[in-house]
Amino acid sequence: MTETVHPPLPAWDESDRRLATDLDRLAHAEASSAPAGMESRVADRSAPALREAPIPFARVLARSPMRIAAAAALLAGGAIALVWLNRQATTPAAPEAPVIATTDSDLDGAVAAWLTVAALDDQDPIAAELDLLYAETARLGEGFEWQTGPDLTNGRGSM
Amino acid sequence: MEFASVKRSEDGQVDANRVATLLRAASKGDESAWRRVIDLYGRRVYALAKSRCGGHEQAEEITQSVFVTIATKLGSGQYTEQGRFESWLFRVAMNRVRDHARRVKRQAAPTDPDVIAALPLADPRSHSSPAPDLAALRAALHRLGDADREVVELRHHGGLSFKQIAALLEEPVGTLLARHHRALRKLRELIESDEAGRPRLGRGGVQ
Repeated sequence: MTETVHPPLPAWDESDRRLATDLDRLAHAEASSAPAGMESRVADRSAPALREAPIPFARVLARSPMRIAAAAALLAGGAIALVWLNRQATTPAAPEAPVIATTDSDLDGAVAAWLTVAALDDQDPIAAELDLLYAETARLGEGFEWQTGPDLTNGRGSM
Repeated sequence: MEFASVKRSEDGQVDANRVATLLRAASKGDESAWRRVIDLYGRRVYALAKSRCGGHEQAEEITQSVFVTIATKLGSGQYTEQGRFESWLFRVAMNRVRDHARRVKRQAAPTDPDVIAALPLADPRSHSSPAPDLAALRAALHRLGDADREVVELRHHGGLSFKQIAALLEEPVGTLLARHHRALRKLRELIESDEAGRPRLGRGGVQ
C-alpha cells in the first residue's frame, strides 16, 4: 500500500493567529478609509465601458449568424478574385473578321460595307486585303457570291 | 430588487451564484447590477491598492482603472463567468498595483517605515487616530519582499482564499500557505526589530 506524502503544512502558533487577525484589522481599516462616494464615482466612470466596449473581430465571428455571413462574403470575394485572375491570365481571342453575305445584285453595296469596316479598323493589313478583294470582285463581275473570313487570305492565292 | 439581496456570507465570501447573475446582467449593460458588483468588491480592491500605494487618490484611481477594465471585458463578452470572477478581478488589480509600484520605484518614493506608519489609516474626517500596533504592522508590511507581500495583501486585503490566490499567481496552494506563514514570521520580526530600534530612531529625528 502506497502512502501519499504531503509537504508539511506550516504550524501556526498563537502569535501567528494574532498577527493574522491584526492584518485583517489593518485591511479593514484601509478599506474603511475609502473616501465617501468612492463606489459611486467608480461606477459612474466604469459603467459606460459596459455599453461602449468595442466587439472584437474574433468575437463577431464567434456569433453564428455573423460567422455564416462572414464565410459567405469570404467565399464570394474569393470567387470574384479567381474570375478576375483567370481573365487576366487568358489571352484575348482574335476578333473574328466580319462576315458579310451579299447577293449578286448588291455586290457594290457589299464592297462598300467592307470598305466602311476597313475604315473603322485602322489595321493596315486588313485594309490592304479589302482593297484586293474590291479589285477581285470588280474583275469577276456579276454572278459571284462570296464570303469573307479568316481563311480568305489562303484562298486569295488560288483566285 | 433582486440585486440588493446579494450579501456576503459570515466568512466574508460572496454568493457565487448571485455574483454570476449580477455579472450576466452587467455584461448586458444593466447598470444597477454593475453598481452592485462595485459595492461588493470596490472596497476590497481599494484596500489592496491603498496598502501598496498609501495615498487615497492613487488607490481610488487604481480602483477606477481596474473596474473600467473589467467593465470593458464584460461588455465585449470577453469574460465568461465560471466561478473565477474574484481571481480575475484581483489579477487585474494586482497588475495595476504592480504597474504603480514600478512607476513609484522609478520616481524614488520615500520608503522610510516611520513615514509610512504615520500615514492615516482611517478616513481623515473621522478624527480617529490609527491604532499604534496597526501603524507598525503597516510599516513592516511595506518592508516585506514583493512576493511575500502580495500573498499577504491578496489574502487579507483582497479577502481571497488560498485556492483563489493559487489560481491567480499560478502556484501550488501548499507553496502559498508556506509563503504566507513565512511572511507572518518576517512581519513579526520586523515589528519587533522596529520596536527595539525606536528609541534609536527617536534620537535621529523621526518620532
